[in-house]
Amino acid sequence: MPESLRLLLFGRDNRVGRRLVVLVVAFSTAITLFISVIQLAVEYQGLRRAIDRQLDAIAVHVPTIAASVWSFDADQVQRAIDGLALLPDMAVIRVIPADAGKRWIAGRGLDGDSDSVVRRYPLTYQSRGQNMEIGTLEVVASLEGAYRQLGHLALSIVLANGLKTVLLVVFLIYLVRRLITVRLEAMAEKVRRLVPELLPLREVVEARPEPLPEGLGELGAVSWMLDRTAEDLATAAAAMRQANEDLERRVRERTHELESFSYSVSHDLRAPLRAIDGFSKILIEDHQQQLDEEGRRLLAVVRNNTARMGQLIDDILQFSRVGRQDLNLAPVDMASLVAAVVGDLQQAWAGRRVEWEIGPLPVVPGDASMLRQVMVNLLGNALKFTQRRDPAHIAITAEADGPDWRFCVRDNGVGFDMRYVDKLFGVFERLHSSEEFEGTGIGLAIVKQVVSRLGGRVWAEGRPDEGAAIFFTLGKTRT
Amino acid sequence: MTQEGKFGNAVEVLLVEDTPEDAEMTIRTLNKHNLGNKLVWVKDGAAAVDFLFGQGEYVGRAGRDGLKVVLLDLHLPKVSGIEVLRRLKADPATRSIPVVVLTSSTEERDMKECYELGVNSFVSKPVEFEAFVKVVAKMGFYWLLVNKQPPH
Repeated sequence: MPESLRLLLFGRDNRVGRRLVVLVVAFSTAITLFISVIQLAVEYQGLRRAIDRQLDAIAVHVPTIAASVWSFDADQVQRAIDGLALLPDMAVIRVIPADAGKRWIAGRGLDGDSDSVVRRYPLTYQSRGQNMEIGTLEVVASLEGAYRQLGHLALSIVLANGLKTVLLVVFLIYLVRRLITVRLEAMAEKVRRLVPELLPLREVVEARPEPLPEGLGELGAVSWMLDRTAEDLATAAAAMRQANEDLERRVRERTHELESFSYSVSHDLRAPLRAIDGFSKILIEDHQQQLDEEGRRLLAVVRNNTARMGQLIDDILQFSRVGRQDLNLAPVDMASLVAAVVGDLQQAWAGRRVEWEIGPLPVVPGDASMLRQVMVNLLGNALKFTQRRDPAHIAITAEADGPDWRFCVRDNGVGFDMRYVDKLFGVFERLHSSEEFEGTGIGLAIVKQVVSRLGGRVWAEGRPDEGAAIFFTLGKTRT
Repeated sequence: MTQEGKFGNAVEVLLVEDTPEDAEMTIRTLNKHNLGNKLVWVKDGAAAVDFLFGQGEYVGRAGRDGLKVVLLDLHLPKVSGIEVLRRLKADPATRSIPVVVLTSSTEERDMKECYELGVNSFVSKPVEFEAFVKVVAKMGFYWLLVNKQPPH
């Protein structure tokens, strides 16, 4: 069998196909056999009945033959039985006279032990009112012809069934390939690629070009590939765990580095700064006489700037602390938090006339100390930028906004130009000169940092000389 | 500035500080208020431990008796301030000596650790000189004049 035909019929060790074909062919053959037997039996009955009818019909000729026998017309008898012998299936026709005289015989005779049917007809003659038996007509019909016909029928049944089976097998193989094999192979291939596609990890991809073992059949192949996939998944999960651990370790290392850096900043930068400030002051105190007014002014500039740098260092540290401090999540009552902050700020800015408008504020999930820092920075800014207003007006409100609370701190201070709104929340970004308003520009950056860590957004609206509004959102439920 | 032995056993303040400028400012401030007469300054944690336990360089010299306060920086060469504090508070003989951590650090981590080790006070050095002077002077007054210690 050529390779291409073998492939067409069975595919590559096509187990499902082959099994299906064998079963269908066996079942179909059994049914065909059963039906054929019934068909042949029915056919045989029909043929037997035809022969019987033929024999019945011969009875018509019996009186004529009897008359010829009676009249000893030997030629006439012979002609009559020769005529009968020509009828289909008639093997032997004999006339046996009762007085054991001359017999007549016709027909081609029987071959060996062929099956046959024998019918005898009494030859009678009516003479002077009484029936006389003058002999017997014996007819032997051969079943050979009937058997031959049945044989032909059986042969045609077998040939037709054989052809049908071949066609059925070809169709079945086509169907199996088309509907099952091809899909199973596609499925197997998909399964095979699944893990490397989903988890493009080096460990899995490198282990992949493993040849499919021979002789598994389609189902075996799918099962084999599922096994490989399960192994790959285990490998991938382990690799993922490893990668996660590596990542966590690296984050810990980086965090540690960052903490060390902050620590160095806080310690190492502050010490020399303190020395600059201290020794400038000692110079002023202990060597007054040698310094003229300009000298003292210059030293004051030095000291102002050391103070400013000290503030910057403190701000950087605070900013970095907000970023890496663990969140201490608990319900925070914003109303009492704001009341406390306002109380503190009023003391710090005693003498200012401020109209506070504090709306109903919700309890939110958050970190109390960080949210306190947010409110200190926002309200501190509001107080700072309303310095030239009398009275200053500062409103703190909160509104439900879908799943969030939207807080707003609004003032009637100097406001800002919306063109620079992007700079507002940057680290050390300032929209006013330090002569106008003091500060390093860290306050809103810290606000943004805290709000982002709590999963909220922050934005601002304002117009020059018409006040500013800072908005931020906090989820109503913990996210 | 190291004057150990000068006062016999009468050292009242042990200043552990590696930054000479900070030490000078501290000593100057204490001197201005007449609080720095009986002060010993050491520049690293190892020397502080030697002084407190009368070992190494300090064998048989002025020791911890009569010590009213240890002013301890945290960021020190050789042995860290935290370690000095740990050893001091771990030993029953030195546990009762008041220790004030005087540091540039504002790290909560440091503060927490110091208090867990039993520090008596934790003071952050202000950058600004006036504030620094005020803090050092207050501290000197309190530990040298106000605070009462158990008898040795």
